Amino acid sequence: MDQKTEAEIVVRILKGEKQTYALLIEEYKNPIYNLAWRMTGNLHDAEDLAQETFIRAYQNLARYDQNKKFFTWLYTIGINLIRNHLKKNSNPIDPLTEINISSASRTQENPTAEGNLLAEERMIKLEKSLQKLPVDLREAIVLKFYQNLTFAEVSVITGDSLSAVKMRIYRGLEKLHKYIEEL
Amino acid sequence: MLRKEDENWKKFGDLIEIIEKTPPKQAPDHFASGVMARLSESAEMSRSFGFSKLFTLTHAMGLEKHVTKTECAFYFLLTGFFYFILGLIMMIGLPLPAIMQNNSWLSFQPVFGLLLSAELTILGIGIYKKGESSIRFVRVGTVLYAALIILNCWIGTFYIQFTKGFLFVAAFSMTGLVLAIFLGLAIEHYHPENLYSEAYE
Repeated sequence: MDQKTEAEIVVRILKGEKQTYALLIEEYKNPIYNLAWRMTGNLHDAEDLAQETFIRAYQNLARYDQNKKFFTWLYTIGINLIRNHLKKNSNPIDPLTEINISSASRTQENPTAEGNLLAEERMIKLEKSLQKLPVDLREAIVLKFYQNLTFAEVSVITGDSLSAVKMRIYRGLEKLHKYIEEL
Repeated sequence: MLRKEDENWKKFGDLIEIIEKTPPKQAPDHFASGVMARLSESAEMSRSFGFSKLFTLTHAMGLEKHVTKTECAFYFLLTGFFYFILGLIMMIGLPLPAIMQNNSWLSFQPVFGLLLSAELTILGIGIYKKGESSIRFVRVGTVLYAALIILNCWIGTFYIQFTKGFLFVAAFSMTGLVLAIFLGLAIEHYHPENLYSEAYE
């Protein structure tokens, strides 16, 4: 969906066509859900946080600057909610169960991956290690590599300078590498 | 320099490849309908102005919500401006009775006000220019500001020997300490600023 279409949808919602918001939800539900899942490592929390992100965005839609990208705005709201959630629940992560369930379901979804146990094992190690990273490093890694955003977009979303973002991603990769080696 | 940076990133090539190949998780089928149902139940779109916002003093002072870089810098600069005006008033506009004119603590108060003003202005500019990296410096500065207020009050009790004078010292110091508490709270609730930070409440 291009920026112009998004702006048109936003205008329609602001005029009272509430149901049109479903189009934006459909477009961005997977990236936001993924972001929450990678950050929390918990499926239930991920769904709650992703839903809350869309609700907050709807409530604040009047403040959205239509000259900017909608997804960047949405990510910013999402990342703020996730940060807050992680701050309040500093130790609720049960990554082992959640991640193992997740990878089992992924194998069922994708039978070709079944034979590749080594790759699967590396991926599980990676996901477990990701949950051990400090929140600021984790969010930088998730936004850059899992969400495939540019450094500039990560910088806008997190509110950090470009050099700080690069530094966080570098430090995150270093730690991630170390944690994987240790597992 | 650039080449060195590239080489540093290259060593994580394999790791980045694994991350990028990780299949994305799909949101549950009922996700969109769930959000729309929650919207119908509770959420109302906020308009750009509401009278309730006039009464959110605690929010404005950073007691509950995140305080962005600009807000934080604004609080410090505003407090600095307050002391600047107070210092000026005490310096040029406060006629002292003859009995108090030789009181060295009282004559120092205008300078003290201007000193605090300078300190808070520097902290405000520091936080505006440097953002998150200046937090520690600003925190120390705020503690120093509170310590100066207490020290000034303590010294004042030796010089002021009459009831009205004590009231002045107490009021001056209490105001300063309350401001220090609010500034400290603003710093504790500091949150990196971004283009859309105002959307999050």
